Amino acid sequence: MIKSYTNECIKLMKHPFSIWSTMIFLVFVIYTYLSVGSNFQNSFQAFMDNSGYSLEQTYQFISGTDPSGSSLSAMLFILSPKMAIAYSLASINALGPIVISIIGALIFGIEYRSFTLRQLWVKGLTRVEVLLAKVMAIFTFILLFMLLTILVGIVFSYVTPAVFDLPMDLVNTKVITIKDYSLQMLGSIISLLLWGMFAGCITVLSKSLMAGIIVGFIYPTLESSVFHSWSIGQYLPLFIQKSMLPILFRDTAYGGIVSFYDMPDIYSVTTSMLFTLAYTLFFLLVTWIALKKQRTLMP
Amino acid sequence: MNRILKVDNLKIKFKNDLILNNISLSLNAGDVYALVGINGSGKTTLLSSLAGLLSPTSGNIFIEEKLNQFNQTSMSFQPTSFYSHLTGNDNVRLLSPDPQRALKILKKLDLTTPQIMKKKVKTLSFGQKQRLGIAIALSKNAKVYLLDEPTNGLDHYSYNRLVEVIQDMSHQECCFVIASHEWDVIEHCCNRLGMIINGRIEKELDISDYNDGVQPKLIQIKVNAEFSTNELLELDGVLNVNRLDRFSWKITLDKNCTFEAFQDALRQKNVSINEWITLNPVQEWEYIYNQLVEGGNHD
Repeated sequence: MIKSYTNECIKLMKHPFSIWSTMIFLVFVIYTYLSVGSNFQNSFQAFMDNSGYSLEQTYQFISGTDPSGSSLSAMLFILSPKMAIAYSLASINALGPIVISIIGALIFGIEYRSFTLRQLWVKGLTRVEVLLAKVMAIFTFILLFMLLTILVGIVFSYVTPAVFDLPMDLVNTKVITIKDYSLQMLGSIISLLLWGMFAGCITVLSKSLMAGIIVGFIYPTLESSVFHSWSIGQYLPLFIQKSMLPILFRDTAYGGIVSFYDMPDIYSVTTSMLFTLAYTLFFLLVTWIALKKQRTLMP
Repeated sequence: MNRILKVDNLKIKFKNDLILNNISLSLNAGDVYALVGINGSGKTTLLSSLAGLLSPTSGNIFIEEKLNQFNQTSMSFQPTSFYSHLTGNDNVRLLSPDPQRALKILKKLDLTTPQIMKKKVKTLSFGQKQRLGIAIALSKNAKVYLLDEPTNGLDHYSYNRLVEVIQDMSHQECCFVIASHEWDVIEHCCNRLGMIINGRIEKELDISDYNDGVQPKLIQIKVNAEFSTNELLELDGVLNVNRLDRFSWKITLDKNCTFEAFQDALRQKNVSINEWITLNPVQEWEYIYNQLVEGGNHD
């Protein structure tokens, strides 16, 4: 089992998409920091010009206001090192599902595309072994993806103020508890795993990498734009998963370029997490049944 | 001899198409069974079902007297299946149950092994991929090795080494089923030959006996007079005849009938042979096979 798991990790980590998507995502995170820094500089000058405040008065204004009350205060708040983990995780939840759904489709689809699934069966691996190894590899990728993003976030929470010479001492950060961080991380892992498993499931059902990627892209858009208005909308996976995000990342709602719109007050964070996990397990089960029932694909 | 493989009335249907029709087969340790047939005759389907990749519609497969013991089979595929974004070395590690053994076999088959191991599979030649696939399949410690068109794309050196490897391994309490169009490899490797036509093994020959003169002999003659098929079949020792043109015939003689005795029998009918050749075993098998493919009978 451990051997199968490491093999799946090798396949995934050495795939050009994994490398490039991670790099591009990290560039996006860097961009979110630099853009906030640049935006602060411009807004700061504009605020002074419009308000007629002196430099000292502007500083006093920023330090005296809550992030929800002033965009200048909110921007500094987002750029502060204390918010690095939360803001990085929010970025992951904004764009990460796209990356992870492709990763989920890829890790299953690669076997169909290159007809290597039959090699795995001939090697003597069981369906459960292959499935669990792949899910664990997606999970590992998510952890590494989060770790790298958080590291880049922390580094740029120091680099950005230095580059733009920002008055970070004015920022008024409240204490973020370990519980907040833990919930944010857990929520992110569960959310990403759902989309990885969903795309993987579609790939196995369709026996096609492309179908997995396309449906992985289209379904969330379709659900949010069409299905959410239906009566069953609130029971669908995207609705449930998205319900936790504005609560988990309420501190990042102001100032940054990543924020989540409010969802109807139906699910608490805990129920949202549990139901999202249940959907993930459902897709896992469907994938397992499909793998068991499938005749091996021949070229 | 220990019986390794026993196939009883194997049938495989895809929708309404009967792909394999009542295949029965029994192989002992040391047997190297050649399976010949035109494209679409069911060779790969038979190999895949023996490897446990396809479930039979009816019938049983016993390996070492145990039903569906597919972990004791190994198969090389045509076309080969690899992770193209990874190196040969990675593919061996991911797909072979015994990478060290695979490397050892690959070194025997291929002079360019270091290149294969270092380069990405997508940059390898057809022959290099073929050797890699064979090495991976043969690296498994199995009782039944199934090789689908193993000589495709092999150069003379690799071809000879492959014959040696198969001959060596066949002495180790295992058996081989080799699907091939190449009579040469059948002549050098195999002791049994099965001809599969439309999903049914129409003819089986014990070809280990051919060179010992135990099997019927095939000759081609040119005579000085015309006569009918029936007249020829009436002669002692003549098993089958096939007219090539007015004066030329292909004739199968009983294993106990000498050419001289046949010539005497013709002389008594005032027919003399102007030219004659004894066809070698390969030509005989090919002749029998061609007759079967074209719908003729050969008993």
